[in-house]
Amino acid sequence: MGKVIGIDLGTTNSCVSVMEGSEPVVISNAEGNRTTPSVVAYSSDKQVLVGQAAKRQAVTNPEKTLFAVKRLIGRKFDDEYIQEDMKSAPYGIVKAKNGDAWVEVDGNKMAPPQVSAEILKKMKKTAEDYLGTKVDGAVVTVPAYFNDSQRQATKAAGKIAGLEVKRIINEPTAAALAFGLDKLKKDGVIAVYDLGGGTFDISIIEMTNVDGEYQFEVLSTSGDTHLGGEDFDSILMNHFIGEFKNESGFDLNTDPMALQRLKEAAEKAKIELSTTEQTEVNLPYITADASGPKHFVHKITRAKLESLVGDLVKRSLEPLKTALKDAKLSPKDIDEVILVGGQTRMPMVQKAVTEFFGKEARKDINPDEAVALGAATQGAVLSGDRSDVLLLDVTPLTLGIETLGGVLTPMIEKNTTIPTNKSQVYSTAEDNQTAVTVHVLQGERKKASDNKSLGQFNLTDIPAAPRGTPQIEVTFDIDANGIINVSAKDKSTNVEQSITIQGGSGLSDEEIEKMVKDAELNAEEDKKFEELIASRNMADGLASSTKKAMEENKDELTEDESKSLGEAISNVEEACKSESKEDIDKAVEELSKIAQPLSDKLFKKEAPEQTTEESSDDKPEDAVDAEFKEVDDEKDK
Amino acid sequence: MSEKEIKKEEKELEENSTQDEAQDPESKDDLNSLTYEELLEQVDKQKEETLRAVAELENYRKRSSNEITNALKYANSELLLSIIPLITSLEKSVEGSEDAEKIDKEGIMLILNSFEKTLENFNIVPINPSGQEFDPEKHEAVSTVNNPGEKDNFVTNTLERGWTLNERVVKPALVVVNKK
Repeated sequence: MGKVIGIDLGTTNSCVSVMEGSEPVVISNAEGNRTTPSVVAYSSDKQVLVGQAAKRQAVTNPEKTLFAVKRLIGRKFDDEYIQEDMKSAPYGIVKAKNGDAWVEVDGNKMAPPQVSAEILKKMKKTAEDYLGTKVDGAVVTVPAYFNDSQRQATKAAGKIAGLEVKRIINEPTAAALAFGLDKLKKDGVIAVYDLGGGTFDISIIEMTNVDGEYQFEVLSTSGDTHLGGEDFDSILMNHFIGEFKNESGFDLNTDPMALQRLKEAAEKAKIELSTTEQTEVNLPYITADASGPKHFVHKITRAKLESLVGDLVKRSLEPLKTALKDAKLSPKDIDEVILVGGQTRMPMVQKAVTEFFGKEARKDINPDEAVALGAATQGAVLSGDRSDVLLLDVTPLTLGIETLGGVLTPMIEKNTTIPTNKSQVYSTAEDNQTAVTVHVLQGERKKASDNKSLGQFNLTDIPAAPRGTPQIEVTFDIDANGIINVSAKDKSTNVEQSITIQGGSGLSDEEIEKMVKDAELNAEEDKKFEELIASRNMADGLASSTKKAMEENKDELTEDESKSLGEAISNVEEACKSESKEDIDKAVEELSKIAQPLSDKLFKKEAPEQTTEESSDDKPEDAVDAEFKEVDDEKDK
Repeated sequence: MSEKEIKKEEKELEENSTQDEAQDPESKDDLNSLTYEELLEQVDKQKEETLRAVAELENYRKRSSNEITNALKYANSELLLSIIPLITSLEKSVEGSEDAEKIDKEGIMLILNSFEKTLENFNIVPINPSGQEFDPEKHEAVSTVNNPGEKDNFVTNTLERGWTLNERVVKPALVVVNKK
């Protein structure tokens, strides 16, 4: 069976998504945008424009530019709601023979599904261009409050667009699927707060186990059909217009070009204030008069924006109370709160919702795309694409080995899908080192000792060689059951040692979470440690190579030179014993200063050796990334 | 391995062998020459290989999405590097003019020209629709006028030029359209 796509057919914007592997992805349209305006226009030469292009020509063709048709779909003309909307709609809304609300363009009456079909066609084409194959099945989302005739009309729109609508699902349910709530495998009540571009919906849904499958049931819905992000933009824009009038006496309302620039600037400022505390709107040459050009430069803080739009946010809380009351629940009965719609990126909105429910809201999925992603997830289930048989595990924590300086060098990063394996070549840290210890660790901290030790073994009988020369290949293999096999092989002798760790992730979920949190909390400290070790390893290497060079080229150096060089080397060695990166760096700098002028003398004889090292660098698979410390004396365990 | 799983594998085995028969008549003899244990072993091996292939695909997906994120993070550096000198020039033009009211127009024009040249090097090209027919794919109508002397649905005034990047419209031109 072919791919089944997921379509979020929105009032202001629509979005299409498809399952790829185990994750749904949003597909960008031909113009490069991840969402498409739900606008359809009929030009005088009978051409149909959909999306961005339709929106751009709206002022030239208002009677034939249809937007927010979703408000009409499946409704009766005499519906109070339609009568209210008709007052503001620039296009004709008429009564069809069956009493439905239809639109009228150039004297032609059209059913809303015909118009919505144009949007669906565009979404279908977007998906087909991306996938390179024909798409004929789709899951389309509708608001939870849609009645049967509205759902049937949406289904009809799909049919007209050449799509078999495999299922109509509720937007809040799709959002819950996108957040993976069905995978929690527990009963619960979810509140979906959806503040989009032009409409606001709150849905209370219940997730229950029905014969082993998790199903969602809508308990109640409420909302405000004329509240959305665009209202936030226009409040901010009016604020700017007022400010400019105060400063310069100009009313920008009369200048369409200035309004256009202000509108864009207001939306941009609003978005920026979700991540920064203050931003500056800078619109040079916004207008001009006899005295010369006028610029609009205005600083705005997040606090100011919040004071301007506070009422809008408050307005969204009323429907929350209604929805809870209708569901006969109180805020504490809600197990999960999820945020959908771009406007929920605003910290003030997030805070208000969190305070209302007394619970942190989930916002880890792009709120503009959650509904489409959930629809694609459902689509994959229906097309049989998502087989739970092959749902593979991931490693919850990073696995690695301890290397020089007591550092955890990762081999398999956390969240890697298993079964998997990885090999890497390491070398020795000391000259003539004949054994190495492979210490297997699990965790996210940089310092080896801060992680969980899973086991260790020694690889012995390495032929004596200068540091960095032996090539020891370490291989990690995790099978589908999570059993870890670690082996180390000396590539010159093929001598091999290995260890098998049963149930390597024998940690409870809480322990894993704690380890991940610990790493986040100690990120700063870990970074310092990592830098210290890097400095120390570098210093240690420099001291030892300089020392070696000095001994080999004794005759070339004067007594004074040898003396100051020797002192600088022992200073570095001394500094390496300390825990201070500054001391080490300072000593290294001193040593470099003394060694630099002598480099001709020091490294004369070593030149050929250098070239061989370089040539081995050409082979990335043989590259040595880290070095082992020397084995402890007690080799036998 | 539980009994149930063994049974399941036997079933899989049967399916596999029928498939093989259909596709490759020779393999039937091969399979018949194998013992039950050997066949089981083969199934296990295949299963393991499939799991590893699927896991690797999954890991590849994760790696590439990381790579894309990183690539995007620094994708603009080349463009940025060519814009920085223009900022320097603009700063100089302000420093150079002692009288704040009077800015050297010639200098500004030079900077503007090199700005456009720079953008052009990155295939960022302006859309200048004055006198052309209104095209909503490239133009955004801000308002309309009714000039009887001009053609219907044509651009009478370009308020702001638009821009395309590699032939794709990144910013439409803002225009006034004549409507009769």
